[in-house]
Amino acid sequence: MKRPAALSFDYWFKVVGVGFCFFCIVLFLLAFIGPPFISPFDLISSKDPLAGDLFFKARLPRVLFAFVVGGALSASGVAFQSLLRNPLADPYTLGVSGGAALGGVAAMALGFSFPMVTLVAFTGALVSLLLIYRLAQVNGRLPSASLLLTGVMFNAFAFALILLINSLISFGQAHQILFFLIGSLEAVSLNEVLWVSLLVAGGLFILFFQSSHMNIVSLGEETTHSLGISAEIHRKIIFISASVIVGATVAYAGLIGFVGLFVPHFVRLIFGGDHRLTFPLSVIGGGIFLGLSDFLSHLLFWSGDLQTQLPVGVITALIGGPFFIYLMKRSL
Amino acid sequence: MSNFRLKILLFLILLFNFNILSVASAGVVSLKPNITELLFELGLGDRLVGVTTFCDYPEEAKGIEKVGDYSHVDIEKVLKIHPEIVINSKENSIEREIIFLEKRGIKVKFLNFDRLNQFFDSIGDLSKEFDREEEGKKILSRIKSELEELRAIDLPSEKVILVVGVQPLVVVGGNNFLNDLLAYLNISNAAGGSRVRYPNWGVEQLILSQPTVIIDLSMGTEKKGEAMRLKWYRQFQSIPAVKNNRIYFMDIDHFRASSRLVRGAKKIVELLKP
Repeated sequence: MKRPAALSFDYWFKVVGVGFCFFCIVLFLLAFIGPPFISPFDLISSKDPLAGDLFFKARLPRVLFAFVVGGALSASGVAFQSLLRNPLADPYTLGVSGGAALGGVAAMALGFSFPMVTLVAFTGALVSLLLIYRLAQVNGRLPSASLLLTGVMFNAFAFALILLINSLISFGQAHQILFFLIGSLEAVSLNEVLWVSLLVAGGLFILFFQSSHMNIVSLGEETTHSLGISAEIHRKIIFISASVIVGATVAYAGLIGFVGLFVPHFVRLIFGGDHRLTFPLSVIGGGIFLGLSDFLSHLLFWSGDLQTQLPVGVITALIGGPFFIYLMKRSL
Repeated sequence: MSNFRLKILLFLILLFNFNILSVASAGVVSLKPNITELLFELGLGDRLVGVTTFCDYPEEAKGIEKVGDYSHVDIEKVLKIHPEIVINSKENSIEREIIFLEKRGIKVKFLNFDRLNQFFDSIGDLSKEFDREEEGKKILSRIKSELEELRAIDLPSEKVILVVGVQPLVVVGGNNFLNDLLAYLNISNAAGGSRVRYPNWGVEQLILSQPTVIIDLSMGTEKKGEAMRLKWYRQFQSIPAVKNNRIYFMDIDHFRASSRLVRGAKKIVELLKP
């Protein structure tokens, strides 16, 4: 399919439609392939409680969660990159993830139970969001440079506090905190996935209708100003919705790096820079990318004499990094 | 030489020779909780002048000066104490600090506790170091005979999984001290096939391995939420251990490489006895 000069609805519908079908197929396959392979027939006949447990209590939540978190991180990556007009922006640049991680780590250190840890992490994300939002404002406007600097500074501050807590608590908890910082898609229930999905879906819904405004926002303040358009309200809506998405995912999955940076650029390299197209495609691509990474992190050392799994962030960076450099070199 | 120069010279001498000024004491520093326990058992508790923040057994150990934890040694404190010897275990990740101490003339002894037989050897090594070989032999033969007694008990064949952490799910694999202990007691470890000492298992692996007994050791590190943990396990009704209500919680500190290990082993055997 040749890319038309101006984005027509026909083209949009075709590309996003094909992408969405691909998304569903990969999701379906990964849910059954494993390891270990779960036969759909065993599930339907439901004679074997083992298959049911494996599929509904472990596999399905994990795979769905990977797709939701991947899509969410990638979507917020697109949003922040347009907002800050900085190709290096990702969900972690703006300090929201730092706030979420700080909340989660503090709750862990205080010995809270797991649902409470998540709740505090999400609260941490929202509080840091409001704080950064207030601090970065200059005369009622939200300039990119100020937002970026405030976010980076806030992140540094949050991570210093995390390290401070880390050095004060016991060894066993330190191990857990490490995993929070590496990120994990493991051991979620369908219920938890549902909650995260609801929050993420809300944010994605708003961002989706803002995607045409992302084009304007990404022109920068000076250009929009001289054109006589005010993008200020859209900047704020985009910032808040993207932050809520990041808060929800970090609270449940910890810090999984690279998805929000890699996928949107990958999509842009192939489909160009129109946010009406790159936004939905990035959501789809992010889900597929994290789903496949999670699959590999389980598969690689599943059998044999190691029987352990890798943190999913290891896979996202190991695959994403070189592949991205290759694509970039080729397009230059 | 003027008075001022003399003062500066004196200052410099003091500055660069502080370890000449500190007198070597006859004390011992232990950098692992199980080493502290073993030293007390050998009757050397009164010679301990420095321990870690995790050395909480026996009660007397709590009163000794803390010079470090698992990941860090306060080298200045150790230099100031200037012990006769520092005893450390091989798996500790504080190599730089140890090299620093050795360069400054402090004797450091390494013991290995990675495997069960290394634990037995280390008791011998430790007692030899302090000329307490008789006591060492006594302790060792007591531990061995008590374990032998436990081994003689006829247990039904169960598939046990030792869980170290739930979020993420980390279990006791092969190639380590606890796996050796289970093997010695003829108990099969569901994760014994892994060469990784503490493999990070997925929930899928837990379900697939179908353990008949789950022993959760993570409560030592995550104090609260035993009921929550139980609820989490109970959702997997296809696991025999869950179906038959054989999920137990134990403190991992009972499995330190000291005489107390026997008590931990005894508890496991009692759980498995029909």
